[in-house]
Amino acid sequence: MTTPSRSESRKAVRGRRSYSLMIGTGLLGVIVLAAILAPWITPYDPLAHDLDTILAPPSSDHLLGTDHLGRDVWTRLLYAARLDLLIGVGAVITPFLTGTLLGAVAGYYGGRIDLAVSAATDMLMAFPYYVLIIALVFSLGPGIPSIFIAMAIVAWVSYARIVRGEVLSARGQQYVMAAKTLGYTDLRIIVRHILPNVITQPVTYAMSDIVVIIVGVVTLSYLGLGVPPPTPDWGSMIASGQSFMTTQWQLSTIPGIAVVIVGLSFSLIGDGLTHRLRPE
Amino acid sequence: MNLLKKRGTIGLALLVALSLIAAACGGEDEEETATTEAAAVTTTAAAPETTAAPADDDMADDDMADDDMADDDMADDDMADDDMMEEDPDGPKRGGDLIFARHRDNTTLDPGAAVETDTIYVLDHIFETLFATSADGASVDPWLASDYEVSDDGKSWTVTLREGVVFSNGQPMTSADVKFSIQRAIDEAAFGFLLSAIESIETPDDMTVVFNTSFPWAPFLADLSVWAAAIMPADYAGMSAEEFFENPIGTGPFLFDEWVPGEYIRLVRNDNYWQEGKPYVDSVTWTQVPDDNTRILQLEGGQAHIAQNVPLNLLDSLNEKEGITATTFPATTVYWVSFNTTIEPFNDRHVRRAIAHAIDQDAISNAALFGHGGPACSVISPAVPFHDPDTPCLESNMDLARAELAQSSVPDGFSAEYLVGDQSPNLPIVEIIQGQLAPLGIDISIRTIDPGQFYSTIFVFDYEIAFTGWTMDIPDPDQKISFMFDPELGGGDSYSTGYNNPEMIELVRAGQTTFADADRAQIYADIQALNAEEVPFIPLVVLDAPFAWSDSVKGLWVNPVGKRHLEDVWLDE
Repeated sequence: MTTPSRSESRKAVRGRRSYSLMIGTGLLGVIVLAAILAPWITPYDPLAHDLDTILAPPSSDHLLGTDHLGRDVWTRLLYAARLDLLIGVGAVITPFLTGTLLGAVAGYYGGRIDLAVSAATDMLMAFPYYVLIIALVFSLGPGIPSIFIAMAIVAWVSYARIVRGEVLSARGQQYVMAAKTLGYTDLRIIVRHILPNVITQPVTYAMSDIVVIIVGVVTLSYLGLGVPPPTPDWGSMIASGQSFMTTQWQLSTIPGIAVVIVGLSFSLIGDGLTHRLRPE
Repeated sequence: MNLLKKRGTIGLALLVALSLIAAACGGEDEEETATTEAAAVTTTAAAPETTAAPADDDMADDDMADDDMADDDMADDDMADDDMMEEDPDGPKRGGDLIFARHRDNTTLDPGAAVETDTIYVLDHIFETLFATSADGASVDPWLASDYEVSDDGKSWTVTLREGVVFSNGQPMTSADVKFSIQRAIDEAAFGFLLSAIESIETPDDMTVVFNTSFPWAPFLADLSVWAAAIMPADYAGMSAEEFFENPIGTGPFLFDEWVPGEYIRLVRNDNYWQEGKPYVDSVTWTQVPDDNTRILQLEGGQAHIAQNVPLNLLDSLNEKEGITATTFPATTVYWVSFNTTIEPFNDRHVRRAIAHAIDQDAISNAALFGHGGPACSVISPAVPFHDPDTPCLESNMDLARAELAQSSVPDGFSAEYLVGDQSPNLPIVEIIQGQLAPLGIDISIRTIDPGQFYSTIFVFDYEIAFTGWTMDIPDPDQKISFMFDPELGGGDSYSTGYNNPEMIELVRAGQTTFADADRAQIYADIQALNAEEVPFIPLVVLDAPFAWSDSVKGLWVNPVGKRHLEDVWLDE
C-alpha cells in the first residue's frame, strides 16, 4: 500500500512487448531443456572412453563426431551445458545476495557503514576483474568450489554499488519517509519497502553477470584452472580440441559456439528486462 | 559499474588478442627475409639430391652414419666434406639464419646448471665434450678426444686430445682446460655425480689427460659424453664464472650471440671451429613458441625452418603438405607413472601393482601416439644398450588388478591427484589412465601444471602420482638407472619417488663396476625385472621424437639421445 510504484510499474509495462526478451528466453529455454533432458537425448556416457573410435568425424552414430578419447562430442556438449549453466547461475546467487544487502545497508544508513562498503568496493574494483578471479582460483587450487569462492569474493561489488545508489535516492522518497513515520523497523523498511522498488536493477545486471561468469568459468577451464577433467565443460572441451584444430576443427569450435549462444540469450534477456521494467 | 566490468572483460580480451598477435609475429624481421628467400627457392627449384639430404623418408641419420659419424677418425670426414663443398656446386651452401621453433626456452647458459633437454640441446652447440654419442645411439665416439686407453685394472683412463681444437676466442684447447672443466663438473654440476668415481686427474703433457677412478667404472666414456662434462677454458679464461656464462666460450660450432628470455636465443657461427668448413649456416635462432598449432603455422608460413614437438596426431597430415617433411627420429624417450612412495598408499607395493595391472599400455599407445611410438614394458627403451625385451611386466588384467588391490591397505580404492606437465602428448595419456583406474575405485583427479614448473614441483615431493619420463643423454643406462633407483649416489631421491630398495641399489652399483657386457646385461635385466615387480615406475609408452622442417633445410638429423648437430645442417634458399 505504501509502495505505489509497484502497481504503477506494472501498469506501465502492460502492453509493452520485448522481442529480445522473447528470443532470449526462447533460446535459453531450448538450451536448458536440452541440458536437463540430456540423458534421454543421447545414449552415450559423457565420460566413457572408446579408444577404438577416436576422432571420428560427425556421423549418424556420433552427431558431432568423437574427441581424442572416443567420447561423443554431442553428449559432452549437453552435459557441459548442465554444468556451465549451473555454475553460471549458482555463482551469481551469492554475490547477488551479499552485494544487494551490503549496498542497501550502506545506502540506507550512510555514514561509517557506507564508507566501509564503498572503500571495499573501490578497492576490489581497482583490480582487473579477471586477473583477480584467476589469481584467487590459482591460489585456492583449481576446481568448482574455488570458482564459487572467487566469484563470491569479487563479484558482489557491482551489486553493492548499484543497490547503494538506488537506495540512496530512495531514502529521501516520500514512501520511505512515511514508513519511518509509522515507526517501522529499519529492517522492514529496507526489505519490504525499498528493495522491491530497486531490485530490478541488480536483477537485470545479474543477467549480464551470468554471461560474464560462464565466460569466466570457460576461460578458467581453458587455462586448466576450472573444471578438472574428465568432467565435461565447454572451456576444457575448447582447450583439449585445440591440438586438433587443423584436422578436427569442430572439437573446439562447437563448444565455442555454445558459449556464444548462451551468452547471447542471457544478454537478450537482460536487455529485454531493462526495456520492460524501465519506468516511463 | 556495468561498464567498468565490461572494460575488464574487454581489457582481458585485448590482452589475449595482443599476446596472440605478438606470438604470431615473433621475429617479424625474420619473417620477411624468410618469405622472400622462400620465394627465391621456388623459382630456382630443383633441390639437388645430396647424401645428407633428409628428404627421404628413411631418415637422414642412416645416411649420416656413413657420412660423418661412423669412423672414429673425423679428419677423413672433414676432408670429404671439404671436397664436397669445393667440387660439388649442388653441395652444402653456406649462410642463412636457421630458425628452430620449440615449445620451451633455455633456463641457463651454464652446462653445470642445465637439467632440461631443451637447454642442453642449445648448449651442445656452444660447448663440446671429449666423447660424443654415435649416430646409432649405441656407443660413444671420440669427439674432442682422438684416442683413449684403459689400464688393465680398469681404474686409469688415458685420453689423448684431438689436435687443432681451439676455443671460440682462438685459444687452443689443452689438457689443463680439460682438467679444469671435468673437475668443475664433479664439484658443481647437477649431474656431476656421473663423474664422481674420478679420484684424480693428471696432465702429463698438453695433449694427454689421465683420469684415475677410485674403482673400475664401466660407463666412464659414456659419462664423459654427458653435457655437464663440457670442455671450457681453464679458469673461465680469466673471467669470473658469472661473467663467463653471460658470454660463454667453448669449442662448439656456434657462439652465443643474444638471448631474449621467453622469445629467442641466437647463436652465430664460430669461425674457429675445428671441423673445417662447418658450420654451414651463419646463425641459429631458437625461438620459443609454446603453442603447438602456432609452431606449425610458423613452419608453414616460412617463419621457422624446423619445428620440434609436433603433435603426433598432426604429423602425417603435415608430412603430406608441399615443401614440408614431418616425421620422427628414433628416440630413447620412455614415459611412465611415478609414485611418491614416501606417502600412503603409494608406499604399498600392492597398490602400485594394482595400478600397473589396471593400465593397458596398448590402448594408450594406440589412442595417444597415433602410431609414432609403442607400448613400454621396461624402463629402458629398446633403443638403449642393455634393454631387456623379456622383462616380465605385469599384464593388463582387471581381475589381477582387483586381486592385488584387495591385498593392499586400501582394498576399496582411494582418491589421488595425478600431476602432469601441460604439454603434448601427456594429458590425453593421463586421461586414459584416469578412465582405466576408475573401475578399481581409484578416483584420479588431474592437476595440470606449466611444464616449466613441473620438475621443481616433483623435486620437492609436492605430488602423489606424476607423469614423468626420461630421454637418454648418454648411450649408457647407468645415468638414468642410478638417477631413478639410487637415492644417494643418483642425487635425485630416486627421481623424486623416494623409492629406496637395498637390493636395487646393490644392482645399480654392480652395473657401474662390471666391465663385461654379458655380465652388465644380466645386471640391467635384473634391474628391469625388479622394477617390473615392485613398480615404483610403471612404464607406459616409448616415444619417437617428432620433428617437422621445410624443404630448404638440408642435412638435419637427430640421434637417439636427442643431439641435433646443427653444424651439419645447411639452408638451400
